[in-house]
Amino acid sequence: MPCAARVTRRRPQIQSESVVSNLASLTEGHRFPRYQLTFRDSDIAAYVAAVGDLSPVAMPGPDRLVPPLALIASGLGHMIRLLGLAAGTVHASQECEFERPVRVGVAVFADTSLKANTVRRGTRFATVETQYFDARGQKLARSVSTVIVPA
Amino acid sequence: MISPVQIGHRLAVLEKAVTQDQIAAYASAAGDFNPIHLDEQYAAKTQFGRRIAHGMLVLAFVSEMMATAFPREWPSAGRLKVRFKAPVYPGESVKVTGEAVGTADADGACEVEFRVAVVKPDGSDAVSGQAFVRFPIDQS
Repeated sequence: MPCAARVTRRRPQIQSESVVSNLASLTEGHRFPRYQLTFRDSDIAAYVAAVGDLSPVAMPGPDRLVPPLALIASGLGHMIRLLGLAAGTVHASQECEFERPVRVGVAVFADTSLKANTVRRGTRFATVETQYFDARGQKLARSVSTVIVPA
Repeated sequence: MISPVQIGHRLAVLEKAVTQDQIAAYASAAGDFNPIHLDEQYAAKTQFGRRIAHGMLVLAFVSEMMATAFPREWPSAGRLKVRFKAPVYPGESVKVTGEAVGTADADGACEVEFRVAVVKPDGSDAVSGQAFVRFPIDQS
């Protein structure tokens, strides 16, 4: 049995995750459908346990926040599934900006666009930008991820 | 402008051991089931020759270091810009480092730049780049 089949899927609730695109057919500037994600306390506990985060913001309690990188990681995971990226895709670079803390149970809305999509020497380089907002439209965070996709 | 962090200040070093169980747990938590991280037979045929940790798992160590040093500022006024330069393999231990290297005015705040890295056992960088933290300028 492949190892991937043994892991339990436990991640933030994400709405609008049914569209699968073909990355090769998309052009720069393409905008993906807005999606919503909400972190439950159990999501944060699973993430924190996985990365071994001992920082104060990750500790259980009334002031617990969504670890900033957990938000970015969930958004990237969503894009990987949405695009059906090939096995063997690797992460080349990452930029993140955190504007406001995200609290457990609060809806987050994500807008993603394709910033670059090129092929060099048979290897595809794709850059996606995601901006995260709260329900009032206030910017929470921004992420720019570049991945290398095997041809 | 008086910087809240002195240039040359080094953040407390984090030491992290990466295990395959941790990688599997991270895959579940982040929803990234790429077989290069999970499937030994698949990974053996890739350029890396074996399974590797998710880049975002390794980068989480940098975020933890920054959040530990600046728990109030990091989630609301932090930035990261890094490159993934080499894979981290399960079984490896890495050191996470950060050093203040500069300051700049940023919309009425003082932004401190840190050079950050995740260093592999052989001394090479798995991740390197910059982290930035904005601090309000005390007007009093």
